[in-house]
Amino acid sequence: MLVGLVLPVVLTVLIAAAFSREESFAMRLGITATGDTLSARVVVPGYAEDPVELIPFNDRAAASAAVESGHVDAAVVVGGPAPAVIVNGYRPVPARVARAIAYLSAEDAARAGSHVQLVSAGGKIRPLDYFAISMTILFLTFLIWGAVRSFQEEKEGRMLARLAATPSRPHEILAGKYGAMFALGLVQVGVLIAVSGLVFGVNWGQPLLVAVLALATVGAALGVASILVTVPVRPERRALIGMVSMFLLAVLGGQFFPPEGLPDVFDRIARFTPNGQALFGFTNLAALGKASTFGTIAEPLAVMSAVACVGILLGVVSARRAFEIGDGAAK
Amino acid sequence: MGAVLEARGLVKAFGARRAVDEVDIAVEAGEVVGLLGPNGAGKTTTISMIAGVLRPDSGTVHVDGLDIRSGPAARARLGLVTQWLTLYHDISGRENLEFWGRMHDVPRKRLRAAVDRALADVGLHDRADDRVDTYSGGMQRRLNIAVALMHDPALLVLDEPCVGVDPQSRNAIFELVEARRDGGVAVLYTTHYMEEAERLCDRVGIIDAGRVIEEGAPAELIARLAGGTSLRIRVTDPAEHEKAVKVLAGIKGLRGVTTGDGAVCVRSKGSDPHIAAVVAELLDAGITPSSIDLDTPSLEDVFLELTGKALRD
Repeated sequence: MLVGLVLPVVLTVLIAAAFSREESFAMRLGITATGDTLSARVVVPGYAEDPVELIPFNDRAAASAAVESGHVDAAVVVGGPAPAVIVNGYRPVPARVARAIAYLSAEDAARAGSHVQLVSAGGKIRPLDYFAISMTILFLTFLIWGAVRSFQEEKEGRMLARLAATPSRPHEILAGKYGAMFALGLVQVGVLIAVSGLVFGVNWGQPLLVAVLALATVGAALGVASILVTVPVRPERRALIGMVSMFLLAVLGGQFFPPEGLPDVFDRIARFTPNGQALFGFTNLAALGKASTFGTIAEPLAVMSAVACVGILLGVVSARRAFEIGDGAAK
Repeated sequence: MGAVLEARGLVKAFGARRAVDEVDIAVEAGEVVGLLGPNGAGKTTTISMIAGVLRPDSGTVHVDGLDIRSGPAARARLGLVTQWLTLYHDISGRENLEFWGRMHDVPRKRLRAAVDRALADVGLHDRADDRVDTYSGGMQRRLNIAVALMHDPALLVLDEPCVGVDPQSRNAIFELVEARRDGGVAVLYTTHYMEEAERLCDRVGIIDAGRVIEEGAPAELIARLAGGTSLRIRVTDPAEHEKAVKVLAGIKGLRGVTTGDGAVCVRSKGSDPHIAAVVAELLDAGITPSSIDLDTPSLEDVFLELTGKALRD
């Protein structure tokens, strides 16, 4: 209860309060294109009272200079093979809004329009939204890690072997175990989404897409934990390795420092982490609001589903031997 | 009465080592059969195959006529008590039993009654709602046994259930096993403690290096294999030891006369220790015995005779 629900809510509120200067979310966004012409339909989230002012630049260098000087909060580069975001320092919310816009606009840029068209999508992301998403993902990974580690202790304590002597079949037992862990994660995410939405007015985006992404995120957390728990070390060392790994993934995934404000390599690394993909997906949904499509979360879904499949498969394979006991098998 | 457990020709090898080699075991309803053996003899491997959690390389196991590997119905007839604890320590004893009851397919409407009965059977009713990690070692052992009783199995398999428990808990476990046996349950019991086997078991099988090397009723094995009663005779004058040896060596029905530790030791060939003859012959020879100690052979003597005294790891 503490790790699963109370801590994430408290931390979200505390961190959001610390960055409340961004609460008004009046943002100046630079935009430039890699080609000769700036050609994109740019979907910009925001309500009338929280406008995003769009400022075009001729090239990336000019956009970067504007970001560095503080003339704009962030800039997006569209039209190339991969969109880019330029942020100066720790600006998580502008960075995430810019990134969401950049990825959505990249699709349109490929269609080669002749001018920039501003479309208000009705999305909204504030520090509170960003940190609610970030803390939800972070504490989901901790909760699932605890559950998977507990399952591993059951395996090592030969509980599975004893369960195999009941009428239940091994695949039913494994399905029950993984199902319960999955359900635990979903409940945590669901409660945090509901509480943050109802009590703090956090915007999570389109409910259906949020639900689909939540399923993939829980699966990925289960997959990562299942991989980490198979590291062949002593149990006490495994706990340490797991916690360090969780923090590392959180850092690399941008849950503390958004990679858009760091050198490009961090942005690339973040996209290889399930944490980064989850954050990317959820913040895109929050930032784009009604403009979100299934394509908005396609990449996070693909990456996290793959991690989930690999990790859970590995966990299931390693559990098979735990169903057997005997003088030779047990030792 | 037909055998509730019928295991035939069980073989299991781990690599080149045959952990279990052509083991046959049969247990009838209302019977307790002990499986005795030193560490690594193959007891747990045998039990694992009987419980259906380890596939034998060859051989069959039938419980109540059903092949144990045929599916849930066969396993539902078996209650397994492992030598390690299969309890969740952060929930109560009652919650543990509810969980295991559900795993054993105890119907929901009978679950509460089954839990209460199992708790009463192991004397934990008053601590039922306490977390298991507040239980003593003996209480945890008893709860571990209750886990296997939830579904009223026809066959109860206990793998060293008394390891590390105090005499009171051990006695409670004995009474529980005896009560289930008297209720018609077939019991297969492994242990290192020979006094447990002597008290509980109608028959025992002694297993070593994966093979059952002897089997029979404890009294029969003792009579057949332990070699009679030992007498330890002290005489008033230790200088007469050599003379006493000669006298005792001449008595029919005795064998193996030795001296040492201030006494003369001799063993009877059968169950009769021939005390009257020993005293009479010694007195006739002018030797006055100051004390005679009788050492009745036990199952442990049989066990050590068959498996040797070398340490096992």
